[in-house]
Amino acid sequence: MKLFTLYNLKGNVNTYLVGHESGGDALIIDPGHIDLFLLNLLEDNNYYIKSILLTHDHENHTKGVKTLMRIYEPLIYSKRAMISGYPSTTITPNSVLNLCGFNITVIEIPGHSDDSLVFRIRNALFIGDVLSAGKIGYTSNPIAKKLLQDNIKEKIFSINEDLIIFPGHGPPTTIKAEKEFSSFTF
Amino acid sequence: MFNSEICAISKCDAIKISGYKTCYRHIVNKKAFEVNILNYLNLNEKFLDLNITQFPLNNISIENKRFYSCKFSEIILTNVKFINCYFWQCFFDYSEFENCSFINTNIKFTCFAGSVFNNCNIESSDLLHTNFNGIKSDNFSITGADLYFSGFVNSSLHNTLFYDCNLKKVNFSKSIRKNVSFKQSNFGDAIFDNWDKVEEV
Repeated sequence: MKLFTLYNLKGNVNTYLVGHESGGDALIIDPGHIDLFLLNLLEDNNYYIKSILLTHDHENHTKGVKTLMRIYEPLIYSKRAMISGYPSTTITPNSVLNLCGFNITVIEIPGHSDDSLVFRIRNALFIGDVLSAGKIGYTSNPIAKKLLQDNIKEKIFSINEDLIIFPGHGPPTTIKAEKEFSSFTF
Repeated sequence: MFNSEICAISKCDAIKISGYKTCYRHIVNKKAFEVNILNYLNLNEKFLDLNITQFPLNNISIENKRFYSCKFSEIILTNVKFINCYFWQCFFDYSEFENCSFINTNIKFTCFAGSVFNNCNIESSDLLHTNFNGIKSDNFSITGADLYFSGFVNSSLHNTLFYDCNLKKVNFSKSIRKNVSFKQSNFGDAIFDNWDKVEEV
C-alpha cells in the first residue's frame, strides 16, 4: 500500500491518496482540492482514480469531487445519496468495503456531522473531522459533543493503540497518543 | 507513502522493520541489525517507509538526508545531530531525545507525541503541522522556527525557549509551562486555554 498525504492551504484540509506499489486503481479520501500537483502525482505513479471515499459531506472535504468526476468518473462512497450533484453509493456503517484491492472497514462516528464516517485500511485510520491531534472535532451543541466523545471512546479508543490516525486537518497521530494527550477528557 | 506490513511472528501486530521479516523486538541478531541500518543510513540520501522503531541511535551526525513516512517510534537518540535534513509524515512518538540537535531541518506532518526532549535544540528549521502533544522537555530551545499549526497539547515544558518562532495556530492547551520563554515569537497568535473559545476543525 502506498499512501500520499496532500495538504490544501485553503481550509488546511488533508487529502489522502491510497494506491498500490505497482500503480493501477487507486482511491482518494476527502478530495478537498484537486490541483496540478495531485494530477501529476497520479500520472507519475500510473494511478487511475476508481473510488472517492468521503468521511463527511462538508465542502472543504468534497470540493475536488467535481474535477475528479470529469477526469476519472470514479464511484463515490459516503453516507449521503448525492454529493456535489453526483450520485453516491450510501455506505452501511460497520461494513467492510473492498475497493481497489483494499479492505476498508467503515466505522460510523456521528457528532461533528450526522454523516461522519471513519475508514480503516490496514493499520491506518482516516478519521476526517472526528478528531485531530489533541482535540475532538467541532460540534454545534453539547449533545453532539457528548455523542462524539462517547463514540470515539467506544469505537476508536477500543481499537489497537498502535493504529495511526490520519485526520482531515493537521498532523498525524496515534490512538495511544490521543488517549493520553487529547485536550478533551473521555 | 506508508508501509504497513506486520511482523511475521504470530500474534505480533507491530509493523515490521525495514528489510526484515519481524519487528525490532523480534530481531534475533540486534548487533548485525545495527550495523546494517547504520550502513543503510550512510549510503542513502532518501528514505521511504523506513521503519526502525525502538532502535537506539547514539553519537551520530545525520546530514542532507530526506525521510518520508518513516517510523522511528520509541526510538532513543543520544547525541544525534540532524543537519539539513527533511522529515515528511514521520513518527517519533514516545521517543527519547538526549543532547540532540535539529539544524536547518524541516519537519512537516510529523508526530513526536509523548516524546522526551532533554538538552536539545532546534535551529532555523520549519516544524509545520507537527504533533508535539504530550512531550516532556527540559533545557529545550527552538529558535528561528516556523511552527504553524503544530500542537503542544498536554505537554510539560520546562526551561524551554521559543525564540523568534512563528507560533500562529500553535496549540498549547493544557500544557504545563515552567520557565518557558516566547521571546521575539508571536505567541499572541498561538492557542492557549480555553479551547472552547478558539477555532476548531
